[in-house]
Amino acid sequence: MTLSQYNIINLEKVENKIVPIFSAWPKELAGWWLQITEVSLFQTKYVAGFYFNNKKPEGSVVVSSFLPKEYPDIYCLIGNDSVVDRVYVNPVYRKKGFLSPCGPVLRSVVYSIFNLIVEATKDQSPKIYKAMGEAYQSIGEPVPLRNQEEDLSEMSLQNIEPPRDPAFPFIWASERTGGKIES
Amino acid sequence: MAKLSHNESLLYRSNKNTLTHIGHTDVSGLYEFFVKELNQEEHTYRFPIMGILGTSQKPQITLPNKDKNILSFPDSRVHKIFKDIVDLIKESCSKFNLSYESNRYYLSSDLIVSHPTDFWHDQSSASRPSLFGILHLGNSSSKIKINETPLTLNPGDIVISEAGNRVTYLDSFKSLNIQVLPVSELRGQYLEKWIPLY
Repeated sequence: MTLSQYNIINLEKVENKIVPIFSAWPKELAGWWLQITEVSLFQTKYVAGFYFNNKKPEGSVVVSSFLPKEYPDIYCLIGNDSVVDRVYVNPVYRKKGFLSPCGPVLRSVVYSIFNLIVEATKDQSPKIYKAMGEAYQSIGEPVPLRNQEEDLSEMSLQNIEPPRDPAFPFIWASERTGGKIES
Repeated sequence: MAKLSHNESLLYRSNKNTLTHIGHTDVSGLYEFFVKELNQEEHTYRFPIMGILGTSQKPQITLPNKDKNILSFPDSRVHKIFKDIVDLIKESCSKFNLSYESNRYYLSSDLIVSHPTDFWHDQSSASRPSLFGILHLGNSSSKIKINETPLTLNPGDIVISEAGNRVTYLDSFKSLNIQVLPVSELRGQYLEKWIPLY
């Protein structure tokens, strides 16, 4: 691993897990900011939405009971067991490497504010598993093994998009960019 | 129509025709009005403004109207347009077999400068009874598709349809996008974004 990657300057070991310490917001996420909303649903504790816009200064971390109306560019759910699930990336920003630095940022933020260590779900599509692998490598932590194929959900097996409103009735009501139009 | 669960609504959506309802209102000069109002600046100084050596400080500049629901501006024209939109939503509910009263709808809106034409979009929520609308604020007619239904919108046209339908913008144009959600789907929303509909 490269310690300077994502502006990580140190690693703190907490119960066999590693929490990255950042000197600054990762330059790979220039222009992005994060909002974490506590939803306290049956399976979901928090919704984390990363935004690429100028509505907040770059690197802002908003912790709130409110959900922005704007659809996030990257979102994930944090379960009551601290497992991160239902990862979504705006199609406009896919294959650009934005997802990998979000993992260490999220672990650092959630540990700093809630004293929780987030972990990636083992039920992942191949694409998400690749990005998660890069995220774990950046903090020098072994990549958790993905579930065997027979234990994967249909969503991961078929690489199905997560639902539009994964924390219903908490909804991002503004326009969402869907898939590319096939000509 | 009996009330459907969220999952039943998604199944319903995949097996139905696309429902749309179109109306019209006067929008001449409205886009420019909205842009002006949204960009009204507020300057905040810390007293004393003039320093001991005659230096003056720069104010902190904020845009207090930014991120508010622009249909809540106290203005007679905006009031008329809001009323036209609400009337159209009531007609749409009747046409789409939705109960306007029991859903206890709230409305929000976003001013859109241009629409990307290479991706489809959706808004409001994943399914009915939520609705969405597009009010054309451009200067010339534009083509869109809602699911596979082609529509031509002229300046001032408003189209209302069911949430979850895919919108393809075949032309890029200025618009006011409208979201209409029942109170049951508005957990965790910011206060200043939503107007209750009566």
